[in-house]
Amino acid sequence: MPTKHVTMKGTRDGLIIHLNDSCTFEQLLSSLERFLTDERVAEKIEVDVHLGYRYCSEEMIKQIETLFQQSAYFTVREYDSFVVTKELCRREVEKLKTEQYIGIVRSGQVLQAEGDIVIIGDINPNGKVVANGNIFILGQLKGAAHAGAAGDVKSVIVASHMDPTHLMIADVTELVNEDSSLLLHANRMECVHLLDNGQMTMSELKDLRLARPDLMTRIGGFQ
Amino acid sequence: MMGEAIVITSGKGGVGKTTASANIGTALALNDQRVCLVDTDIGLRNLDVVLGLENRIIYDLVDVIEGRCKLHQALVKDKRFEDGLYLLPAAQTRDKLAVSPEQVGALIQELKQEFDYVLIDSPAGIEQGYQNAVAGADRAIVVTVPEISAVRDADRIIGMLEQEDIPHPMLVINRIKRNLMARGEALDVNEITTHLSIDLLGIVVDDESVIASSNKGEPIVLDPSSRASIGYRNIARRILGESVPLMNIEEESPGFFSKLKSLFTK
Repeated sequence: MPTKHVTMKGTRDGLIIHLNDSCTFEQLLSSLERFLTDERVAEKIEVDVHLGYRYCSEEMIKQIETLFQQSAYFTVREYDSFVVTKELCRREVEKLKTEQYIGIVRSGQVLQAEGDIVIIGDINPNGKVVANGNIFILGQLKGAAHAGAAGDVKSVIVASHMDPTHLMIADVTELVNEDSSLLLHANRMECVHLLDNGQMTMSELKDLRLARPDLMTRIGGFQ
Repeated sequence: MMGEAIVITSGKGGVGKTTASANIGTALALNDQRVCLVDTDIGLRNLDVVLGLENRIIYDLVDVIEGRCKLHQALVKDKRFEDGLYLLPAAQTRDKLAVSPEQVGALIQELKQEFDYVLIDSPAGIEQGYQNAVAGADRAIVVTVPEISAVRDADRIIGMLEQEDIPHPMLVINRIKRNLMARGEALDVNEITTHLSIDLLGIVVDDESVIASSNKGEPIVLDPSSRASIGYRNIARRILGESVPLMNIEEESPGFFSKLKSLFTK
């Protein structure tokens, strides 16, 4: 029975088609083709496809996708797998990593980070921090900061003393001058994030907790 | 025992690098150190003028590097000192590109063999002239004045020095106007030092006699009665490792000052 290479399971989140990872890829493709022509369901449905421990290159995924496109009943929502390449994994880890910098970012200097960055020190005027993730400054932000530089609108900028010239999150830029709507409060930690309407806002710590609960890996109270 | 090379730089022009070089060098010589001042401002030299050695120059830094003379032939001795103070002048007819940082670095190494202190006067800017000046330096003195533009440039230059592997640049705040600072109209010493977050080597109050003495070719530090002179003498003593309290710029009354003077002129 060649079709056992392809099994369908229902879960709470919908249907998942599991593709066997120990047969050859050709066997798998022919099994899948048969499965897609034999299986009949009442209407067109979305499924997730799980590749198990088989590593599939983009080319191989494209071949699987082609079969699904020919099918009248199934469309694929997402491909999942237990394995990734080392390279992809490294890039993902890089994005999740929080980098640390100790020192002053001085005039004319640009400090860049792949993911989040914690700066223990000041950003002086004409100095700049650019991160694809969040920016946390244990010091004074007197220059420019750009969080979510690759487009992540959920990114935030936090500084224990906020006195910036430019604030940027994703592609939203705010010049912090007398015309700015952002209100600076001396002597307290300030957090900058984007509202759902894309407007930048500066707020207290407690507001950040509500606006970006995902930033926390620990929640609740402590004894 | 190898000497120490210290570059005096600022980024911005006109803050008193050359005056500071001449006076700190002279003050070190007054403390029985053998000092060589090196002017790297090729094309716009004036350390020789401030020291009053202009009319005794025969060869210059470019001549040495291009092999037209021996190093000791180009050194101009300051006759006010036995054997304490020399100047290696810059060339006036060439420009910054006449020498490379490697060449200047090698030259400074050679001078360090012979002198206790080699003070390198840097040109303004962050281009080749600056690169030449920092090439052989072990330490750096950043000169600034209590003006926002000068402090910005100092910040830029400190960032560049940190990348040059010159550890812990030291700050000199020059031309402090007491009245302005007391009224809060100029940046104050504390503000500047915290902003730049480097060690403060010394402060020099604004003193009109500095200009008069520069014009005469006599560094102000030779005149022990001047307020600016005390600032420079303190800087030299701190370079030598003494711990000297910071001059109090606010509470200066004539009585206080004469007390200070008596301390430094013994």
